[in-house]
Amino acid sequence: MDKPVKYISMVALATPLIILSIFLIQVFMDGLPHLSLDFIFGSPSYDPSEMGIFPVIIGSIYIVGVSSVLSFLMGLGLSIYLVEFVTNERIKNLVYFVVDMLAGVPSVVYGLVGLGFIGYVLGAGRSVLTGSITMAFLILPLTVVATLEAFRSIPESLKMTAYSLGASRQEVVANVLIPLGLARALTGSILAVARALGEAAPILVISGLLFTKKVPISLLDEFTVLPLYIFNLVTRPQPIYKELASAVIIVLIAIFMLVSLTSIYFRLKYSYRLYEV
Amino acid sequence: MVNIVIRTEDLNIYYGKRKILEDVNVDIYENSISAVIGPSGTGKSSFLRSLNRLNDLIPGARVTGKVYYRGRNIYEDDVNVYLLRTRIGMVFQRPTIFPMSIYENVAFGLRINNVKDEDLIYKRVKEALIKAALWDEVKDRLDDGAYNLSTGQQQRLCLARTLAIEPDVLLLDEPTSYLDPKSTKKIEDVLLKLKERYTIVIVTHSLNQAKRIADYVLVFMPDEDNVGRLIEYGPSTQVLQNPVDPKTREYVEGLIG
Repeated sequence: MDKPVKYISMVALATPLIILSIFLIQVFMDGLPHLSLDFIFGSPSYDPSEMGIFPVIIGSIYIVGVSSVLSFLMGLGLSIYLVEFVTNERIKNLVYFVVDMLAGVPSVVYGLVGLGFIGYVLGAGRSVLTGSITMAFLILPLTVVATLEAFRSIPESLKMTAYSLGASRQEVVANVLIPLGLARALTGSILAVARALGEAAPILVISGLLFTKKVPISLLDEFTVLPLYIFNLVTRPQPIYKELASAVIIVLIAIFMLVSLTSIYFRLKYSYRLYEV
Repeated sequence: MVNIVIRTEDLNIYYGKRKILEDVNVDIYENSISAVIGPSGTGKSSFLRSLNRLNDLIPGARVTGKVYYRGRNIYEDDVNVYLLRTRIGMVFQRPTIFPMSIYENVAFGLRINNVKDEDLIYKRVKEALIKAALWDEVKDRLDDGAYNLSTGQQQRLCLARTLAIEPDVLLLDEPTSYLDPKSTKKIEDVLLKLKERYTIVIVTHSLNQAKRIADYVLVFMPDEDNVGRLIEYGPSTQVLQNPVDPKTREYVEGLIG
């Protein structure tokens, strides 16, 4: 009985790995020849041989950075509130339900709502600010799951101990929950960062820019991001643009790897051995 | 004349709709060790937690009746529970160690209570570790992680942490149930010394432990509806050797529980 299950599992594991590898090999073969410092630090150009993507890289880092921080702070606040301050199970379940629903909303809808409300009603325009806030809400379900999981993993007994020593709820949050849960919450939120880095649809709605030579500096500047730029390149008919798109994909993967490695570093540095009860 | 430190009047404890402890009326005397004994599930731990209002934090738990601590009903609305808990300290069944150094574990309660003077913190930590009979074993490695200590040492560290904030009453919830006989004896010796300055209430599974250290014994027993009741209490020699209640007699003779 065990054998068939084993083989089916192996096939199930191997299939996506093989497909992904083929795809990655293709991307690297196409893209690597185009990668150069000029490509990374240059400006976009209509001439494929002079193409650079610096403003796009900065746009992506800007959006991901601001939205991750915003989303993490919101997730942190929400999780602390849920774990330590809400005792009514119904309210807790309602919040979980809303968060689950948010996760199920198509990302383009976030883009439309973000542009309509933050961009036009609040007047932030098609800016980095609008994009970041929208993206922060888009990835909020992921950060909430990550931070909740981190805070729930802290043994109840440690909280009780702090209370028995005269701690108030605020002091338990400041002295137990945050110090013991933060590292795990941060590394858990890496999925959210990856999501923000890879999203194209809401940015397509909000920024609408497929091409820009201007590096975004202020929060109110216009911008575009790597996934959108990849989209722009692959929609062109000439083969050279597909190769350039591969080069941009490599840059995107590299940025993601950098973020992951940073998170692993922090996890190793700040991981605590929590007493199991 | 012995001072009464804690007095309960018609103390009832519920979890949700289920009553788990009914009408406990008992006095806890100053500078004594009162042992709470009885079978599992008779509300011994809940009773203990009702004395420092830690039940407040357990979802569904509800307490009715009165608990006087030095003459003041702690269930009145204007009682500062945080201050109360610094006066009535607690040690749990399993050592609850923070992922910090030995020193910081003991200093934790002081820092939470906003003690800023590092010299004072050091003094209190040292005194507490001496009282808990742990100082000699850890004085050269105060900055080591507390996880490296043995379970017995960890439990004495928890005791030291509670002592560092200088409480008046110590509540201990089966503090030796995870410890070997040698570590248990160390804790018991510490408690016998501590009762000169503190009032101690200890929940224990072990009748022998009650015999060894208790001045007073409270016997909790379930009634027909499985609600815990205090069926007998008094000086330990009387309760353990000459019990009035037949159920207590069966229990101390090892027939039930």
